Amino acid sequence: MNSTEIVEKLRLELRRGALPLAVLAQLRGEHYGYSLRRELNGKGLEIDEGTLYPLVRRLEKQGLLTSEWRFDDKRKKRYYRLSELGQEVLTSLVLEWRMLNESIDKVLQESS
Amino acid sequence: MMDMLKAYAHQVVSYHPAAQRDEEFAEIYDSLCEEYADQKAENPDLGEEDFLNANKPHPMKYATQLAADESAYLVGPQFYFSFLSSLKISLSIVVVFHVVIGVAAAMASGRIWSSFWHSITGIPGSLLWVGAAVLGVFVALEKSGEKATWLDKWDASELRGIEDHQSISRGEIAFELVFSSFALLWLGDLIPLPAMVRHDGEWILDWTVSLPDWVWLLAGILLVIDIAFSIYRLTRTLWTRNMRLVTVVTQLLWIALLAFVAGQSGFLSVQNEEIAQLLPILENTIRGCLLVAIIIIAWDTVGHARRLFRPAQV
Repeated sequence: MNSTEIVEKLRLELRRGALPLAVLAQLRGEHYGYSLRRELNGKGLEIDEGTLYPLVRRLEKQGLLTSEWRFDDKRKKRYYRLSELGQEVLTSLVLEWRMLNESIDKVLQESS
Repeated sequence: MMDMLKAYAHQVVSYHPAAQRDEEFAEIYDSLCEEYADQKAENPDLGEEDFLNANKPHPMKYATQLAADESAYLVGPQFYFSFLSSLKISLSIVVVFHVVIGVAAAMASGRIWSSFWHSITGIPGSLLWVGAAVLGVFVALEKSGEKATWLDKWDASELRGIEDHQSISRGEIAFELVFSSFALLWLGDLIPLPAMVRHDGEWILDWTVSLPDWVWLLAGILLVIDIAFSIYRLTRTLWTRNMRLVTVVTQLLWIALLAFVAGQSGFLSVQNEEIAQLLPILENTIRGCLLVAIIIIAWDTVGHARRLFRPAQV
């Protein structure tokens, strides 16, 4: 495995770990599958349906999201939104993310 | 106009459990339509087929990605439910087979419990063989899936051959797979047929079936084709015209073969002359079973043939 492949693998791992946080944060507003993906892609977080749908389903099973089916544009769409529990979890995760960011920044500054 | 996006979404969800298909279909189809509309806005000439080829993997691969969060599978997600279904059907076929033989033996011998028990005790052995055969087929499928480069060479034009999303019944495939494996194992003498009839304290153990060699050879070939075709259909799940054509041809061959066997007289024989007087009854019973099988196969063949000659509507 060359360095490019290793970087790519680690980059994917890094992004995968951050995705639940991004999805929860984006679902403070209501979204259906494709609009959620489009919003995240627009903010530089490229995510395919094969990753997004299982993640959203898992978060819903954990009670962090609620969903509702509605007809829109003659098609059935499933709208997702953050639940109360999801809001609590998101607040804790955002705090954790900021602390982690700060720590990593310190480590990176020291090593450079 | 043919809705390729709908056909693709149907193909994807067909690999998942029936209970969750409707919701998954709605979500995937909506997502495909929106993504296609976005890309078409930038490129008005973009067709659905080109869109799928450029953006989406083989439906089976996509279905596997969508099931990535499911709990551990003995075999992969795309075959998991077929595998469980095949095991259940194996159990049913083996049990029914032994119970029928047991009842026939009990009625003919007059020693009800001992005859019945003799047949029932053969169930674990038969089940082990059939289960091993089914497991072998699925493990081979799973292993080949890891190197299945044909998944990457997928072309959306394959969806054109699909007939109005007619799903192949998983139960139907599993039944054919198990039944054909069972019959092939019996033909290869790996599963012994239970002693047929106990009469006046004697078992008919030396019974032989006298049929021309080509009948056995053709039956063996057809069973191998049935097994291979069942495996192929496990990787497809929606009917295409070519699949119906193969089904019609093989089933016509089966009808001809079974009709030939049913038309033979004196195809059973035993060395014990006292017991030989029971053979016409046994032969007529077998002939009756063959006729029922011919009627069922013919009915199914007519259904496939009708769909073959009907214009496809996707």
